[in-house]
Amino acid sequence: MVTDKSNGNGYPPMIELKDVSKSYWTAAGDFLALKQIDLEIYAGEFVSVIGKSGSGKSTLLNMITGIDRPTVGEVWVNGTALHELDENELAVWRGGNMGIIFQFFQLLPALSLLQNVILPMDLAGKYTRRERRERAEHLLDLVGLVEHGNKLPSMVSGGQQQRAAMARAIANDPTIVIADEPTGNLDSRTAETVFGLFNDLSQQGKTIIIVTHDSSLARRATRTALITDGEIVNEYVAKALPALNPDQLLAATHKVQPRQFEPGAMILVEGKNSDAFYVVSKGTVEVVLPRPNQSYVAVLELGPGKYFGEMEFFHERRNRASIRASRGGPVEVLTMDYETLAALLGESETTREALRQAAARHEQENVEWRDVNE
Amino acid sequence: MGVLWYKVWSDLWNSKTRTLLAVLSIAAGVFAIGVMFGMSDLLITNLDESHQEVMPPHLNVILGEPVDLDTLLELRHVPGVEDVDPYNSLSILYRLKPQSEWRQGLVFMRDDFDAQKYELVQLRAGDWPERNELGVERMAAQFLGVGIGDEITIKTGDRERTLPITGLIRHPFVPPPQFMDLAVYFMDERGLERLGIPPGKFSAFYVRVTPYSTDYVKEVATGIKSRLAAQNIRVAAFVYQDPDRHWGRTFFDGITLILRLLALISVMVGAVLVYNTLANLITQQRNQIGILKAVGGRIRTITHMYLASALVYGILALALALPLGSLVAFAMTKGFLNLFNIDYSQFEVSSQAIVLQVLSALAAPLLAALPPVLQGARLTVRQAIASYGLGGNFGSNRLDRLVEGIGQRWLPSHYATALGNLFRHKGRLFLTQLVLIAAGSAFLIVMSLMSSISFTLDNIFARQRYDTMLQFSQNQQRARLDTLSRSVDGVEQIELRLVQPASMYLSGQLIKEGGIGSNIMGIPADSTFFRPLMVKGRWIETGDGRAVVITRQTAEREGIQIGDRVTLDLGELGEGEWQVVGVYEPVFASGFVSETIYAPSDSLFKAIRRSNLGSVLYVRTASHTAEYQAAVTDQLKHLFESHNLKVDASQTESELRSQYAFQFSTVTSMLMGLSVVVAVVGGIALMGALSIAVVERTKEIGVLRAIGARSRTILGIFVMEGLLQGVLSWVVSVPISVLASRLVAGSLGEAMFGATLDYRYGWPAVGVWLAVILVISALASILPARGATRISVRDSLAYA
Repeated sequence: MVTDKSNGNGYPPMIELKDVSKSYWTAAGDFLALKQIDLEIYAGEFVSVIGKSGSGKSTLLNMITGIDRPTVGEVWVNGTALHELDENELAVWRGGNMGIIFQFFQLLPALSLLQNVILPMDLAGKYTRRERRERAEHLLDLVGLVEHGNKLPSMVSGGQQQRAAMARAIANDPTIVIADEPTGNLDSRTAETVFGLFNDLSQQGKTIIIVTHDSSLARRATRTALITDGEIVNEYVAKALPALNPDQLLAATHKVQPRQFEPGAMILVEGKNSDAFYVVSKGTVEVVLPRPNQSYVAVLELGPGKYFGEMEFFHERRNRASIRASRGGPVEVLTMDYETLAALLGESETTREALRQAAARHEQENVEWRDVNE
Repeated sequence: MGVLWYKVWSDLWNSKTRTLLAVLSIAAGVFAIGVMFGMSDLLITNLDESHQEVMPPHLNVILGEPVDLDTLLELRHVPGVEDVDPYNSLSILYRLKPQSEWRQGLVFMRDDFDAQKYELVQLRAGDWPERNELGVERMAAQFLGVGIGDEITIKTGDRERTLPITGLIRHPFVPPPQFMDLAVYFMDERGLERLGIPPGKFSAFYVRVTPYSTDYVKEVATGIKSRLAAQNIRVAAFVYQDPDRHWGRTFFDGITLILRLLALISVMVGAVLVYNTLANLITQQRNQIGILKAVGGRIRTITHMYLASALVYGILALALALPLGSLVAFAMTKGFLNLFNIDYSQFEVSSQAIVLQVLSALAAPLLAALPPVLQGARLTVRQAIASYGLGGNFGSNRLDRLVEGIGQRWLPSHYATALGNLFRHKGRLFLTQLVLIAAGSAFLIVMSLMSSISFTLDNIFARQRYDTMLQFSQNQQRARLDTLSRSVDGVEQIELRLVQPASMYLSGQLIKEGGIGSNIMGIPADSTFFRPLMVKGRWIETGDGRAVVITRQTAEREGIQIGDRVTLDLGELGEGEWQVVGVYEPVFASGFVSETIYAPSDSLFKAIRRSNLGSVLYVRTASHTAEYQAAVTDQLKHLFESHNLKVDASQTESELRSQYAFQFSTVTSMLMGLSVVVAVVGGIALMGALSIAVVERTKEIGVLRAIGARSRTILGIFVMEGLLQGVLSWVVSVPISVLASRLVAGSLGEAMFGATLDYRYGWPAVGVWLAVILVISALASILPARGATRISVRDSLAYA
C-alpha cells in the first residue's frame, strides 16, 4: 500500500481515495491501471499529478471525477461516496460540484462559446435563463473571450477554446476543478496564460487538480503527486531525492517505513549508532545541539520533504547531531535503511553526488553551529 | 433544455444529407402506407357503393333461346323471386369505317331504358337509342374514339346496318376494353327487331331474391330452372352476384393484401434506416455525449435530445409523404375505378390511411431510434470519451480468428483489414445485412415468381396445342367445317368440340357450382390438341364409355373421388350417369369462368343421340407466329361468315397468352417496383453503416496514412468492405429465396388468380442480382470511402 498524505490543518480531506485499484480487461488479459492508491487532497490545494505516459494519471483523475469507477476501493469527494453513485447520479453530481477541463477542449461543436458556457447551467437548472446568459458572459470576460462569445469553437484558436472550456468548467461555481492535460495541446505561451487562470482559481479557494506531463508546470502547483505504474510515489521521498527516476522513486516508496513521533520526542541522539536515512513526511523536526548546561538548542528546522541521516551514511555510522520532533505537533518520518539507500545510490550517481555534497555541506554547518554555540 | 434544443436543430440542419436521407427513407414507407392503404380503402368503398347504386341483380339468368316476356314475368311466382327484369344481348360484328376490319361487339337491349329495375345502365350523354339509333358504352366510345353523331356499321348474320350514335351509356358490368376487345352497344326493342330478334322475346333476365343469402339464391335458381324446364326452356347459365360487393373485389382483395403487406415492409425498412442513422449520429457524437454527461447531463436529457431528432425526421417525412400519398392514392383509385367503368372525380382521402400514416411516420422512427439512443445515453463518460479506432477486442472469438485467417491467407493486408472490419461490429453487420438480404431475397423471389408464371404459361400452352379457336353461335357439322377449313391456306388440322351447359348432381343433390356454372365438353379421346394437368386418376381414353374428368376444385369442394358416379343434366339433351375417371387442374379457377367437365366426344354424342357436331373449333396452323395465327383466323372467320356460319368469338393462342401475361404483369410489376425500392433502401443502409465505420476508424485511417497508405488504398478498404457486405448478403439471399419462392409462388398464384403455378426457380436472376448488388454496394461505398480519404493524419490522430 502506498500512502500519500498531507496535513489539512485538522480539516478532513476534500477528496479521499481509499485503497483504490482499477483493472481493465483487454484481449491480452487483465491490466492493473491503479494499484491500491490512497490519496488525500484538502480543500484549496492546487495539486499536480505527473507521470509518464501510461502511468495511470488519467485513470486516477477519472476516479476522482467519477468518469470511471474503481475495481476495488472507495472514492470520497466532499463527503459523497462517488463509488456508490450510478451514472445518472454521477452526472448530476458532477454538474453541480465539479468542473472538468479536457486536453482536447471538448466543446460542443454546434454551439457557440457562449452557449457552451451556458450548457452546464441549463443542465443543472441553476440560475434563471437571464442569469445564465449574464453569468456566461461574465465568465467569458474573465477568461478574455467575451467578444468571441457568438463564435463556434471551430472559428477560434486552441488556446481560446481551452479558455472557453475553463469558463464552462466553472459555470456552476463548483468547489473542485479537475483538468486533464489542459495545456497538452497548446503552445508554451498559451499554456502559460491558461496556467495563470488556474492560479487565479486556486487563489479564489477552489481545489484544483491538474494532470500534466510537463514537470515545469507541475512544479508551480502547491503540491505534486508523481504516479508511476499505477502507484503514487511518496511525494516527500520525491522531494528529498529528486534526481531518482520514477521507477527508483517507486522502489524507494516501497522501501521506506513510516515512523511517528510525539511532539518533542528525540528521533536521533548524537553519538549513537546510525543505521537509517530519514525523510520528514509530516510535521517538522529540529536539529538540536547540546548546550553546556545540557539543554538543547534548535539550530535548524526540517519540514516535509527534508531529510537527515545522510552525513552518517557517507561518514562514520554515528549520529552527528540530535534530531527531535518539534513541539508543534506530531511528526512522521519515513525511514530507509542504509543498505537500501546504498542500492539506490548505486543506481543513481547523480543522487549519490547530490547527497554527498549535501552531507559535506551539513557537516560544515554542524561545525559552524557548534563553534557559535560553544 | 435551452441550448440543447438549439443543438438538436443545429445537428439536423448542419448534416442536411443525413437528415434528408433519414426523412426520405421514412417518407418512402409512409408514402407506401398512404398509397396502399388509402387506395384499397377508397377503392373498396367506392367499388361497393357504385355497385349498390345500380341495383345489382342477385342472379343473371342466360337462356338457351329467346323467351316471351309473359313467361318471364310468370317467374315472379317462384318462391323467393322479388322481381325479374328481362334484357337481350346479341353478339355482333361492327366496324367504324367501311374499309376497316370487322370487330367483335355486343348489343344490349332493355325493354324500357327509363323503367329499368336491376343492373341499371346509365345515360351519360345524349339520349337513349330509339329504333334506328345506337347507344355506345362510354368506355368503348373513349377507347374507339367515337362519339355522339358518329356512325357505326353493325352486322349480325347477313344483316348489316349503319346506325348513328345518339347516346353514351354506362354499363356497370363490362370488361375494360384494354383487357378484352369487345365493344358494347345499346339498342331498343325496335332496333333489335331489325337485327332479327323478335319483339317481346328475351334471351336473359335479371332476378333479385328475397330474403337474400348465397345459399337461398341458389335454391331460387334451381326453382327457376325447374319452372322453365317444365316449359322446355333451357337455362344456359346462371351468373351469381353479391349485391353488396362489387364483382371486381375478388381481384383487389388478393392484391391489396399483398400490397399492404409490402407497404408495411417498406415502413420497417425505413425504420431500419432510421436506426442506422441514429446509430451513426450517436457514434459520431459519442464524445459530445460524454461531455454532456461530464457537465451534468442525465440519461433522460440525452435520450430526449436524440429522440427529438427522430421525431423531427418523422414530422418532416409526414409533411412530405402525407399529401403525396393522398394524391397518388386518389389517382390510383381513380385509375382503377375508371377501369371498372366507375366515375370518380371528387378528391377524397382515406381517414384510415391518414391515421396509419401519422402513426407510422411518428411511431416507427421513434421506436427505431430508441435502441441506439438508449445505448448512447447509457454510455459512461469514460466509454464515450475513450479512444477508439485502434485496439478493441476483435479477434477474441473463433469466428473472428477464422475471418482473420481467411484474410491473411487470401487477401493483401489492407483488404484483409476490410474483411476483418466487416465483422468488427456484428450487431451493425446484422442489421445492414438484414436489409440487403431482404432486398436480394425479394428480388429473387419476384424473379422466381415471374419465371414460374412463364413456366406455367409454357406448360399451359404445351398442353393446349392449338393456334386459334373459333366459337360458333350454334352447333355446326364437323364435315362441313372440315371442308371449309381445309380450303384456307395454313390450316393444318382442326378439332371440333361440343360444349353443353351441364348441371352436376351427386347422390341426387345439385352440387355447388363454382364460377358461372359448368359446361361439359366432348373431346376426342385421342385428341392431340389438349391434355390437361392431371392431379388424380387419368385422362379419358379410347374405349371409355360415360367417363368424365372434372376440376380439382369441384372434386375437393364436393369430396368426389375417382370412380364416383355423378349425374349430368344436359338440359333438353337429357341427363345420365357418368363415372369420374380423373381430376385435372384448370388454368384459372376463380371469378367469372365456367368450369369444364371433359368427356369423350363419342360418349357425349351417344348420350345426346347426335354426332359429329360442335360449336367450338380448334385449329392448328402451319406457322405459330402471332401474325400468322391472326391472319388465318381472319380468313376462317370471313369464310365461315360468307357461308352463314356465325362466329361469336375467336381468339388466337398468342392473344390468350398475352391476356394471361397482362393479368400477371400488373402485379409482378408492382412487386418488382417494391423490391427495387427495398434494394435502394438497402444501399442507403449500407452507406450509413460505412459512414459510421469511417467515423469510428478515424484514428486507424490516420495511422494508415502515417505509414504510407495512399488515398487509393484507403478508398479500396472501404469499397472492399462495401462489396463484401454485398457479396455476403447475396450468399445468404440465394438459399432464403430458394426456400421462400416456392411458397410465395404457390400462395400468390392461388390468392390472386386461383391458379396453381408450376414452380420454377429463376436461376439466371441469381447472377443478375449478384451484379446488381455489387453495383449497389460499390455506389453505396463511394461516398463514405471518399470521406475517409479526406481525413488528414493530423485531424485523425488528434481526434478525440
